[in-house]
Amino acid sequence: MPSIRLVDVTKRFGDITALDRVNLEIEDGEYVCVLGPTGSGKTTLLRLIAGVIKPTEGEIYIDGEPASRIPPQERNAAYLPQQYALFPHMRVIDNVAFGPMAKGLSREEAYEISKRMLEMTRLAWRMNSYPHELSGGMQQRLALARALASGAELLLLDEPLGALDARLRVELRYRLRELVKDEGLTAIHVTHDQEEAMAISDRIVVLRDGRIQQEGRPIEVYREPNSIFVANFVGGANFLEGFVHRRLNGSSIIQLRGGLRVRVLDTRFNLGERVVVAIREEATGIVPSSLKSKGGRGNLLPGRVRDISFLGSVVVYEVELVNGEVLNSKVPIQMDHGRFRVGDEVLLSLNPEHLRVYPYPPIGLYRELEAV
Amino acid sequence: MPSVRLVNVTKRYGEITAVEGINLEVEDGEYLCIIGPSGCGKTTLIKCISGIIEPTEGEIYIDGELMNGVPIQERGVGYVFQEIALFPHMDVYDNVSYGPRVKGWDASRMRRLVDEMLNMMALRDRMHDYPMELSGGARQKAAVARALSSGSLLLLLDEPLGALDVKVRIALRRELRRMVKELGLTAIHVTHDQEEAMAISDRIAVMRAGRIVEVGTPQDLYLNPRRLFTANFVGEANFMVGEVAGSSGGEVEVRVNGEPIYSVRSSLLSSGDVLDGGRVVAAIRPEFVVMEGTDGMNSGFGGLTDGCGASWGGRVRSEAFLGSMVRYEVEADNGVLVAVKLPSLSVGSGFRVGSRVTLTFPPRHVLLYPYPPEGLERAISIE
Repeated sequence: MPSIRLVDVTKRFGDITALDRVNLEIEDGEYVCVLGPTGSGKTTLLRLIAGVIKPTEGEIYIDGEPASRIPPQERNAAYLPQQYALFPHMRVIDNVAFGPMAKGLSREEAYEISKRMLEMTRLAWRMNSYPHELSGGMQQRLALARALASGAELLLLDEPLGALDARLRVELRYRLRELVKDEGLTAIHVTHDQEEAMAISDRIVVLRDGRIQQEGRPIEVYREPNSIFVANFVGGANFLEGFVHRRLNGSSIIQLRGGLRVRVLDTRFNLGERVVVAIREEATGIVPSSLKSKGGRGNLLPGRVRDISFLGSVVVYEVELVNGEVLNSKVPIQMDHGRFRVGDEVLLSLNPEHLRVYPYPPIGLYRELEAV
Repeated sequence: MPSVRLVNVTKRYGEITAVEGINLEVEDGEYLCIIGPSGCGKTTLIKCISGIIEPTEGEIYIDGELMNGVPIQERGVGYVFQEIALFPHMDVYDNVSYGPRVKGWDASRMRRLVDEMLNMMALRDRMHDYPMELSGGARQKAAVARALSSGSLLLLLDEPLGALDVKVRIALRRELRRMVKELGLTAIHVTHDQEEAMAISDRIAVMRAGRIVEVGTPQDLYLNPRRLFTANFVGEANFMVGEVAGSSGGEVEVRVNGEPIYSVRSSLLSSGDVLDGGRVVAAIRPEFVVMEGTDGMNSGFGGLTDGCGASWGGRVRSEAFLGSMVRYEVEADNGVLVAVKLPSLSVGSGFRVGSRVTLTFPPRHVLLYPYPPEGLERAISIE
C-alpha cells in the first residue's frame, strides 16, 4: 500500500533549480495529477519519486521509509516516461505480458491480464501486431497498457495520453481513472492538459518554476484559484485591471479602465490599490442591452459582440467592452438561444460572487498571463 | 479569387490506398477544416492540393484551373506545416519578407506588406529575433505571417497549431481566422482537434479511412450529424441500440432494453426502419440529457425541455469535474450507461456517486439512425 511523502525536496541541475523545497503527501489509493507549463518541474518530480534521479536536498518517503534506502526496482512502481521503449521484436500482447510473466505468472494468467489492459486502451484488435506497425498514438497506448499490467501498486505516468488524438484522449482518461480506482492503485500523473487533470484526479498539484503554486481537489483549485497564474492556467478566465475606488461594508468598488466600475465581495485591498479582477468565462453572463434600464445592482458592463465561436457543447461570445477590453462569455449549448449576432450591443453581467480579486502582478498583467 | 475543387481524387502507395474518390468543393473565401483520426488520409489530401504529392487518379482545380502536374511553387498557395519551416539563419523580418523579396518587389511595397503582416500577428517587437529565440507560439505566428506575405490567396495549413500549448493554440486560432477573413483568403486547414475545427471553420470535412464521411458547418455536424461516425467523432454522444415500438405524428418511440425513448428526429430513417421492431440507434449528446435528483434537485433545465420525453431511473456511477462542466456517468436501471454533462455553475456539488437520479431525454435532441450493417462498434470506431 504505497503512500508517498516529499519533505523539502530540492533538485538542482548545475545552476538550475528544477524543484525548490517541495513538500507533498500522497495517500494510498489517491489519484494525483501534477499540472504545470513546460519547464515547471513536473517531470523532475516524477523521476525523483521513481528513483531515476536523487534529490539534491530533502527526502522522499515511501510507506514511511526513506526512499534513498529503496532501490528503484524495489519501489513496486511502474514508471512510464515520455520516452518509453517497447520491445521491438515482441508482439503487442507479449510486450504487455512481459511484466506479469517476469513476476512469475503463467502465460495464461499473464495473457488474461494483458488482454484486459489492451481492451481498456482500445488495442486488443492489434494484439498480434509488432510495435513498429503501430501509429505513435497506438504505441503510447501499448506502453500504458504495459505499465498497467505490471502489477505495480504505484503508477508514475508522464503525459500518458499526450500523443493521442483529442477524441481518444478524452475517452481513455475516464477508463484510466476507473481502472486505477477499481484496482486500488495509487497514481501520479503528469500532464499539461488542465481539463485532463481535473477530470481524472482526486487532487491537482499545480507547479510553477519548480514550486507548488497550489494544490487541492479539482473543484477547489478551479473555484478558488490562489493566484492569477492558477486562474489562467487552470480553466482560463477574463482578467481586468483596475484599482480600489471605494470600500464599503462587505464589498469594494473597483474602477476599471475607461471609468467602468464593478462591485466585488473581496475587501482585503486598500483604497487606491492596483488590482486585477478575474471571472470565469462561463460565469460571465451575456444579456440584451435593453436590460440596462433595470440595472444598477449587478455588475452590468456595456459592450458589443465581436465574434461568436460555436464549440459544440458551448458557444463563446467575444465581447468588446466600451473601454476597449475584450471578454469572453461562454454559454452552455443547452442554455444558448442564439439571440445575439456579431455587432449586437449587449451587457456583460459579472456576478460579484464569481469575481476574484488579485494584487496587480509586479511584472504586469500581460506578462503574467504569458507565463503559461 | 481561389476556389478549390477536387474530383475523384485518389492516392495509392502500392497496395495501400491513402485517399479514395474524394470529391470536395471549397468556395472562394471559405475557411474549411479537414478532420479525422490519425491515418485517415487528411494530410495526404492537403499535400495533393498543395502539389507536394501528385494524386494517382482524379483532378484538382484551383480557381477553375487544372493543377495536375503543376509544381507547388506555381500553384499560388501558402503552405504552413506543423513542423515549423522558418529559415533558422534569418530573423523574423527576413523570414516574413522572403516571398516578396525573391519575387523582386520594390523595397517600399515589400516593407508596407511585411509591416502589415507583423502588425496583424503582433510580432513587431520580435522582428529582429531569430527563430530559435522565439517561443513556439511566436514561431508559428511568424510561419503564418510568412505564408500570408507570399501573396498567396489560398492558404493550406497542416496542423499549424498542433505543437503549441492549449492557451496559445486557442489565442492563435482566433487570430488566424480573423486574418484569413480580413484578407479575403481561402483556407484549408487540417487538424485532429475537433474543437479547433469548430471554432475556426465555416465548414468541416470529416474523413475516415481515406474517404470523406460528411461535410457540413460546425453546427450541422454537432447538432445534426448525418452519420454515426460524425456523431461520435465530433463531440461526445451516447449511443443506444433499440427497436422501434411505434410512431405517431412525427414522434418515434424506441425501446432500449425495455425502456422507452422518444425522438422527433427520425429523418435519417427509411420507411422500412420505422416499422415496429426495426432496429435503430438512438443518439443524444451528454449535455442534452436532463438529470434530476429524486429529492427534487435538478440540473436546472427542466423547464427548457419541450415535450416531456422519456424518463429513466438510474444511479450515478462516476463524477468528473471539467471546469465549466461536470460530467457524470449514470447507470440506468435498464443497464445502459449514460454520460451526462451539466454546467458546473448549475450543480454545485449536488449529485454524488451513488445518488439516485432520473434521466430525461428531450425528443428534439434524440437522433435516430438505422442500425449499421457492420455493427455499432465498427460504425463509430475511431480506428
